[in-house]
Amino acid sequence: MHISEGVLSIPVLAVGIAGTAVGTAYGLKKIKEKDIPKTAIVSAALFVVSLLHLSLGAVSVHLTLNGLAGVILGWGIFPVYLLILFLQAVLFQFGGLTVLGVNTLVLALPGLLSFFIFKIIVGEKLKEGKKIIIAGFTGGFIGVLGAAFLSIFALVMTEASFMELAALISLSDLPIALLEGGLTALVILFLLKIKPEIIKK
Amino acid sequence: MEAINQSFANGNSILHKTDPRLKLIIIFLFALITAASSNILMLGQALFFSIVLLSAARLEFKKVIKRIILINIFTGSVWLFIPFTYEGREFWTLGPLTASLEGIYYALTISLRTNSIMIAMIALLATSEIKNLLQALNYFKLPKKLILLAFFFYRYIFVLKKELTKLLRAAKARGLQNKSTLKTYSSYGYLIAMLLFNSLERSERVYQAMLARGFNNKIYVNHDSKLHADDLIFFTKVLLVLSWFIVLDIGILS
Repeated sequence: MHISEGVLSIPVLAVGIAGTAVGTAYGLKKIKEKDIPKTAIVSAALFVVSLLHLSLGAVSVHLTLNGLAGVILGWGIFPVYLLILFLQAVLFQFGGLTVLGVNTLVLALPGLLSFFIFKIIVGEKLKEGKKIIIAGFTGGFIGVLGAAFLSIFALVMTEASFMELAALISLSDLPIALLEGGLTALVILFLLKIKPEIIKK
Repeated sequence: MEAINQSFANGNSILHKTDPRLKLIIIFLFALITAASSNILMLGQALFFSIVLLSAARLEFKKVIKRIILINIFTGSVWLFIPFTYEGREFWTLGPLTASLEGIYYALTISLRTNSIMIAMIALLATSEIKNLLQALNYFKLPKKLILLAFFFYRYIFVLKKELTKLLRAAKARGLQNKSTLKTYSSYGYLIAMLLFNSLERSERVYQAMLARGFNNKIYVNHDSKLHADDLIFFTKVLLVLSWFIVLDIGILS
């Protein structure tokens, strides 16, 4: 859930901008020039996939898949989400410009965490098996829950009375977290079969 | 799936014709000034100003209203919660819940801020084609790699959307239904994986093809780099209004 314009306080927005600037600078350094088309196309794929709606019980949900993005992109997840969110703000007015920093951190930080957790659980050899499933599921799950947690944090830091509203929004993210965990594990398993190089070392 | 059409970008109004670089500066300044303010008098005028800009853009009314309603889903939930959770003087009681005056004031400032900025974004950013906005970004001294990423990213969104639509259609022809079943979810999982796989194969081919044609990581822009008098006049008028907002917010007059 992207936070709209005009909700967060200036200090929170400033932290978002600073964090995203640092993350993006480092992420860009890590992307070699020859990898730019590959990263850009993965970003485009993520953007397009976020337009899908799946049904979850009675409601229709959109997928974030920031855990999957983290596993594939590593530190590059920062510039990627910066671009995805910028385009969503300009095209659909979903999110915003001053909140671009905060929204990027909300998605990129949990994604990065998923990347590290995946590496820790799986280690160097990308063999299929239980470890991959656990690592993939955890990655997807933490991606969504981490984003929900950071959103709550940003809202409550702005104004304490946001707690109830923020908690409700995040509660509704729990089933989505489970769904994305499963999807992430599935996608990673499948990709390992057909193109193992995609997972970032 | 939503469509990625830029239906607001076609038009002849002054908002459509102004240089995208100036529009980007304006929207950033406007968003910053508005987001920093809690002054209802100023925010009300800001909202009025953004509506004036929007009407000057002469966009299709129904589509704009739809967009505005979507934006206000979050604002609506703010109104349902914040007045009752924000501490302050009692204003209205509904059963066990009490709305505070300060809470209502706060919810109002949020509504004014969100709507002013979002409406201004529609008026200023949606009225230019994305490719022109990206070319404009090129002038703002952003990191070269980021600009390259942005151009490739934009280029491939449309290609991949077609690809995903094709994959979806094929899956639906084989009985994919949008239900909450494991079968549906795993089918979508494979769809996503296939899209990523195809994207990566494609990116390798594209990069080789571009290298073979002499690509040297530079983007050439065919944008008219001169600013016209009309652009500057519009820009100055808007800057004057924004200065007035800052004056109101700082409270020099009160």
